[in-house]
Amino acid sequence: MIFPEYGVTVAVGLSYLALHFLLYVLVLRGRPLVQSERGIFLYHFGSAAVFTLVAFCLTVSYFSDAAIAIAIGLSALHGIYSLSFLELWTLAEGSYSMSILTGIASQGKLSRNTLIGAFARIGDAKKGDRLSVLSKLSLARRDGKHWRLSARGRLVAKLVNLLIWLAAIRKSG
Amino acid sequence: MWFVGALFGLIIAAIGHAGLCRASIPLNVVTRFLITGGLVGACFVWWLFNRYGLTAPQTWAGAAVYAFCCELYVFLFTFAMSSVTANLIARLSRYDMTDSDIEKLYDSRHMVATRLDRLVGVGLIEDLPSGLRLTTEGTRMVRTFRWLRDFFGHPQPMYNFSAND
Repeated sequence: MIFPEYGVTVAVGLSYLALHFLLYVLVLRGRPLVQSERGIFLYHFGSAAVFTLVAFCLTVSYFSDAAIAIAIGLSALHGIYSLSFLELWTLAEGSYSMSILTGIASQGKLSRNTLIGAFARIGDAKKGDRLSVLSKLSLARRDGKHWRLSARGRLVAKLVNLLIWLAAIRKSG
Repeated sequence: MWFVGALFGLIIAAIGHAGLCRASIPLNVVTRFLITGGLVGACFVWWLFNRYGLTAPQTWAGAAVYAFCCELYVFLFTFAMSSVTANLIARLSRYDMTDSDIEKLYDSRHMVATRLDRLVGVGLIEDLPSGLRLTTEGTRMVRTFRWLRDFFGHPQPMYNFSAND
């Protein structure tokens, strides 16, 4: 048997993840509470935060390397589950690329100009949102005529530039 | 040690990925990471088995932490690659921009064309002289996407393509 000493703890942890998913599928799915990006994010983030906190509180009572490993391992599994779920949810909700694919699928065949014209209208509607999001998150601010990054924005930019350099991305956005 | 090993494994995988991304082989950026991440992951799990044994919690926790870090890394670099907001942040870090600079740079028609070229590049759309058409893989992707929209309770999109566009 794997983890003979901590079998119950692992089973409880995995059951919690299964119940979290079943609660969404059987009860919450389609309700306004989890139909917004913020709502579904909080459903997962809140659960992961509480789950990790409880796991580490239990670790304190055992305090061994194996107990710490179980707590971190279960938290990592919650992370994998939540990140996969949220990625799929967001992709299904409104990815630009997926919308282009379904747009072509709805017509069978489509000229390049027709498709670009139709989706450019959606892009125009989204354009205004981007700067307001940056401003709301305090990542950038308007300084006279120009937009400038804040200290937090510069930190995020360093991470983005590092990722772009690492993955040798030539054309982003 | 196993935890540090998982983080160290991610760093090795990311460096390997950076190297592979600079090689001229016909693979997309995610597949390249799957190769390096998978190889490093296999070596890391082998090391965990040898050090802690198959039944030790440290072995499974190390593998789970490594897998989570890899998934997070893939999410972050695909976000940096495809998000317009991330692209805007990267540009603003190099120079300040006015509203009209942003307007010009993020011309919607150009952005749709960029995405379209990317979808053609990864083999989901065929760009034929008679028009754009989904490949078999693209059709399968759309089917999965429709199922996902139903599953998550998102309404199916409606399109209005006018001939004037």
